[in-house]
Amino acid sequence: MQSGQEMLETTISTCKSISDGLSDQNEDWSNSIVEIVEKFEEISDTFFFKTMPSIPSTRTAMRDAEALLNAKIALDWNSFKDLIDTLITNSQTVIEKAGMKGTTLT
Amino acid sequence: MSQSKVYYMDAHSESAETSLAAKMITVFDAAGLDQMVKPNDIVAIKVHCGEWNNSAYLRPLYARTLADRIKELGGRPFVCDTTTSTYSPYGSRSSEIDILLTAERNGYSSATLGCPFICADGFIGTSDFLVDIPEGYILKEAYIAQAIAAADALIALTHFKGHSMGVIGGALKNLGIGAQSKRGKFNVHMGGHPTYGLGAAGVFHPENFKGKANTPDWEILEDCCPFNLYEINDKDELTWDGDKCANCLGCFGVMGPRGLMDIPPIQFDAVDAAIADACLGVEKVIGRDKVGYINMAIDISPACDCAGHADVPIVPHLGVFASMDAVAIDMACVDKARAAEGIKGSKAELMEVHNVGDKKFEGAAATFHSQSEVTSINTGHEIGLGNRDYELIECQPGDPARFRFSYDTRLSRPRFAEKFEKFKPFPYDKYDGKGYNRLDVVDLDKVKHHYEDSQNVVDVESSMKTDI
Repeated sequence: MQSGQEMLETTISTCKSISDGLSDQNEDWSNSIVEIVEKFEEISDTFFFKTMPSIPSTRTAMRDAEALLNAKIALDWNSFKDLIDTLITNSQTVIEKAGMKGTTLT
Repeated sequence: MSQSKVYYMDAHSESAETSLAAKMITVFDAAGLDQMVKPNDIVAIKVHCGEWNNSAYLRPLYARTLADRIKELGGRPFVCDTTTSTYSPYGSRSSEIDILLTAERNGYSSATLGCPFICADGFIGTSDFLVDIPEGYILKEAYIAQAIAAADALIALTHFKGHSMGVIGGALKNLGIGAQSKRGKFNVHMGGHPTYGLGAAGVFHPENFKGKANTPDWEILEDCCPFNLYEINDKDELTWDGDKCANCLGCFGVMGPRGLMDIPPIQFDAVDAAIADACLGVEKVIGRDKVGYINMAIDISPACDCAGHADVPIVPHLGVFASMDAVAIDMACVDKARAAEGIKGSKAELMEVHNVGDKKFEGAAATFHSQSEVTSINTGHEIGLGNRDYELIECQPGDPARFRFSYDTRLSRPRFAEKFEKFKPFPYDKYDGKGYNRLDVVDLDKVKHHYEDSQNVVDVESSMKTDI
C-alpha cells in the first residue's frame, strides 16, 4: 500500500501533466489545476500525510487526477468538464483533512 | 522451540454448548487453564472494561462466566482493569474513581460479575510492583499493577481487535499495557526515552501556533498535559518542556492535527516492542505457569476499546481462543484475520485491505503507514515470552447440560406447574377456553407481501388516457 505522502506526490505529478498546455483549451481549468498543485505542494510532507487516515481522501484525489489526465489524453472534453469538478471537490477534502480548514479551491 | 498449542472454536453458534460463553469455557479447560487454579487461589481476570461510549468491549457475561468457572475450581476470582494514561484530555478511566464509574456504566460491577471488580493499580495508578526483566528487548524493568502482581494466578481475558498504536489489541497488549500501572504505562510508552520518547523523537512546531487571539481553543494546548509542560508565554509563544515528557499521549490528538507536533512513528514501533517486554514482566511476577490467555476475537473493531466509540468491525467474528502462550494466541488471531474476508462497508474496505490475505490491522487500525501488526508478536518470540509458531487445535463443543441455566436445573413442569396453576398466566376461563379476544382468520399473505417489489403497478394516468 502506498503511503498518503506517496499518493499526494503522485497526484501532484499527475496534475502537472494535466495542466501542461491546458490553458489552450480552457484558462479556468488550467488555473484550477495549478491552484491544486500549489496547495498540495504546500501541505506535502506535513504530519497528516504520514498517517493512515490520510490515505482514503488522498487516494480518491489521486484516482480523480488519473481519470482527468486520461480524459485530457483522449481529448474527451465533455467528460473532462465533469471530472475536473470532482477533482476540485475531493482535493478540497484532502486540504481540509490536512488541517488547512478555510482554504477554498476555485 | 516446539510449537505452542492454541485451542480454538469458531464463532458460529446454534445451541447452548456452542454459545460463545460456553465455547470460552470449553477452550479454557482444553488449554489446561483450569489446572492453574488451586483451592483458595486469588485469581485475577484482566479485562478491558471499555472507555466511555465504547460499545465493542467484551460483554461482562464473559468475565462473569469465567469467574463462575474459577469459583467452581475453588479459586477466588476478581475482575480488574487499570487506570489509563491521560491519553485524551477527556479520558474516562485515568483514576480509580473514574474507571469504576465507567466500568459500572459498561456493566462491570460486583453485582454483574459475582465477584469484585477492582482497579488494580490504585487510585492514581501508582500502586504497583517493580520487576526486573533483563531479557527485555527494550525495557529492563516493568511496573506491574499491584493487585495483579499479588494474584496467585492470572487469566488475560482479552477482546481481540485493532489498536492505533499497538496495531493489534490482543493478549500481549492486555498485559503489556493493561496490567501495567500508570507509571508502568509511561515506561512502555517510552516516556523520557532518549531515542524513542516524544521528547527525543517528536518534532515540535511552535511556529505553527498563531497566537491566542487566533486560536479560540488555545487553552486546550496547555491543559492537555497533566505534567504542565506546555505553556503560552508572555510573548504569546507556545513552549514545550519536552525533556520532561512522560509520553502520556495526552497531547497527540491536540498537537498533531494542529501541526504543532510531528508525532514520531518510531515511538509507536518501540512501544509495540516494549509491550511484549512488559507482558513478560507480568508473567515473571506471577509465575510463567500461572498466567493463561483467552482471546475473544469478536466485534473486531479497527480501534481499541480505549476509544470512546466503536466502528464497524473490519472482519467477521473469528472465534474463541485459549493458550498458555501470549505470543502464539495473538499470532493465531492475526492469521485468522488475514485469512478472513473483510466486512463490506468497514474500514477494511475503505482502506482496501479487505481481501483474503490482506494485513487487515496494518491497513485499518494502525496510525502510521510503517507500523507492523506483528511487532509485539515478534518481540515476544525474540525474548522467549512465547512462540509465534503454533498448533491450532479445534475443540469440540462440551456437554450441553453443563451450560444450561445453573440456578435451577429442573425441567419446566416441576419448576412451574404449581405456580401456573395458582397464578393462571393463560386465561383458560375466557372466550370458550381460547383465552383472548382475537379474530379467527385474517389475510396473512397481505402483510407478508413485499410491496416495493410489485411488478403490477398500474399507471393510473396513462391508463386513463388510453381508455379515452
